[in-house]
Amino acid sequence: MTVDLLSLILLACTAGAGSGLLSRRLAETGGFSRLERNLARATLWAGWMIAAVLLAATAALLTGLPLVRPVGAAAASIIGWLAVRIRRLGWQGRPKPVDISAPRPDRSRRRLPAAFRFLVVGPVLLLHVFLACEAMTRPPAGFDGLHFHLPLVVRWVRDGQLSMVEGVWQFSLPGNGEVWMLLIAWLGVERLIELSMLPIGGLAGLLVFGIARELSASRPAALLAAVLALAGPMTAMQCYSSYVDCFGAAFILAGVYWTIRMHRGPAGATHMTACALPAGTAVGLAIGTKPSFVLWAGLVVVAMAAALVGRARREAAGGAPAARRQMACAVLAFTLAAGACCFYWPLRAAFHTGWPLYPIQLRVAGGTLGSGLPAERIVSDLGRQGWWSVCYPWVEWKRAGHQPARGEYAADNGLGPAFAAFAVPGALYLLLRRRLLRRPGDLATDRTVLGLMGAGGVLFVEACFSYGRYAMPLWMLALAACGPMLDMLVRLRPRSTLALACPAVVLSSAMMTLAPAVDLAGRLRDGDLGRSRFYGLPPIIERLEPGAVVLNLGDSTANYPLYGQRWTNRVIETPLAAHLGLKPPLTAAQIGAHGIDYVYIRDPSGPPFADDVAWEIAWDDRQDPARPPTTRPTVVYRLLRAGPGAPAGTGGMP
Amino acid sequence: MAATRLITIRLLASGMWLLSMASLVAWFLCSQALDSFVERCMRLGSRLAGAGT
Repeated sequence: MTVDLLSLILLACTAGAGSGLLSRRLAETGGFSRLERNLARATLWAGWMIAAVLLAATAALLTGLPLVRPVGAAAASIIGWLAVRIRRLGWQGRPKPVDISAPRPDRSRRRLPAAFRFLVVGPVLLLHVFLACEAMTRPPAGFDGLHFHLPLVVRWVRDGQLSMVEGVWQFSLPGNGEVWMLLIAWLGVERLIELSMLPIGGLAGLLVFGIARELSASRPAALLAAVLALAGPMTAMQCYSSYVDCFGAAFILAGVYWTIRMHRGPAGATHMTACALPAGTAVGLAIGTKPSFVLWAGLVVVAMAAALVGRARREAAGGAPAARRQMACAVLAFTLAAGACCFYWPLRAAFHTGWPLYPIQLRVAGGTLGSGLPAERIVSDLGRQGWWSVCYPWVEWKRAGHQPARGEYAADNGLGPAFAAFAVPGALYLLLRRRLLRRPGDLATDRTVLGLMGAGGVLFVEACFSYGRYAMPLWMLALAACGPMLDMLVRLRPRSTLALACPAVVLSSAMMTLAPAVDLAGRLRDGDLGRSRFYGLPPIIERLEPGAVVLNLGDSTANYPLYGQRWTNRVIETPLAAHLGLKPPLTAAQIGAHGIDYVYIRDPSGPPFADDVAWEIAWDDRQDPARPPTTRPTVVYRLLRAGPGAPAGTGGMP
Repeated sequence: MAATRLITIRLLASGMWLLSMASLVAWFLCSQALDSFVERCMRLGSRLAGAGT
């Protein structure tokens, strides 16, 4: 534990120092402002941390040894830092000062009016303070997190490898988001895992601010846009959950930021590489998060290519020497950075299955390519939404949520009133402002953002099954695009804009906090902040002998809780059980083959065993009057090891 | 020319504000999330009132 903590600190420090060196160098060549340098540094730092773990994981994959400890990641990080350090020694002094001749955003230090600070920024700040405190009083939550993200993290901690399970798509996907959680999970404190997403949410807010500034919004308006983005239920709640969509979306947004930043820059084209390096890092991180982000990353790559070509043409027309070489350098930097942050996942898939895109199967001209799983199996629980999806979020239909009976927002659902009020008018204003007002501002930046939003809308409907969660980059970009309109409204109609923004943000915050606040009040009233009560699990799950194998035949959301607080149990999760064909009636051969010690089941209609299995009941709360009426009855069976003369079915059923 | 531009900007600001207002009102009227939030608040209120008495 001490070694792990020290090596984690070492990893964070060397990643910080390395990304600091790189971002300083990029700022010098690219003419970056302080905001841009900090954004580059944050992106490079996250990329460095993930790349160090992936490098150690590659060594583990190739040697078969459990090398993915924080120690291995720290060692990889130190090697990278030394490489950067040595390279820096070779640079001949500082580069020449750059000539910043292109239009830059408004540099005034004007602040947001006090009324906005108190009535719009204040509620959102309070909301995040509450959500952060609430997250620390409970173990991790959220359907996907409990179903497969967190079980995967626990498997990796235990195996010392970023392992996959062939045949189970949930455990075979790329997992940069899980690697990010793994960095905190190595500390062994489960209540801190979800807080690992908080810095990512902060980065997303900063990127919304940055994009709004690139669209020539003033500082107050850009700040307002960032606050509105962080007031969105899906974004705010994902900052404190084990979902990975916010992680991927933040880095897609970073890719967009560096793409549009490329349009504006000093003459001489040296800044192209400076922008391409953080852009590549961000795109690589997003691609390695989950397959749906590959589509979003594709949009960014197309926009980046267009920006590069346009920029190189302008440079060449202006007689700048070596524009072609600079473009090649930028492409190389982008590709290498992107590859470093996601190379492991196709390598692992190819190593285990021979098909680098596993579990994705490609269909080409009626035939299938690769050994992946059929798409129907992977998206079997996703049904395409109807026509109303284009009206999102005005209908906030809630059918995408997993708990339609409960009305509250959740990490996988909801954009909220602030988005509904400003997003569409903001996009419309961006479209019209040049024509109506002949406003200055970079035409290419406006076109890139509008083009990405249009293409993102098509992706949302066609490729994301119209599920709001899969289109988070689009929602954040739309709020960033509100910046210019908010700028105009805050300048010309401050009071009436406040009258719109304040109720929208306050209502959104209240809707988000109601359900967690009621749950927290209940737990505080009962004086029980333990995980058994939170998950509605039998307390014996926390007391099983270390290494006990538990088969989950209950809900998917019990997959992670069954590991126990200290992750001492071994769990056969629901998707793995389905893959292994473990379903009632379980035979003695199946139980012996998988070494099952306990079977967890909800709403049992009878013992899930064949006649040749010896079992007893370890927990049964069906007749327990103390069981809350909202908790479904649970039974835990203990399997008796077959010995000579051991009777079958000794427990019997009452 | 400057006056025309000023009027255009002011008209545009008013138009955008009205559009934002209309968008927010549409959300108030159509959103199921708001309905369920109000319903839940009322249930909570009545539970708290019941506990108080």
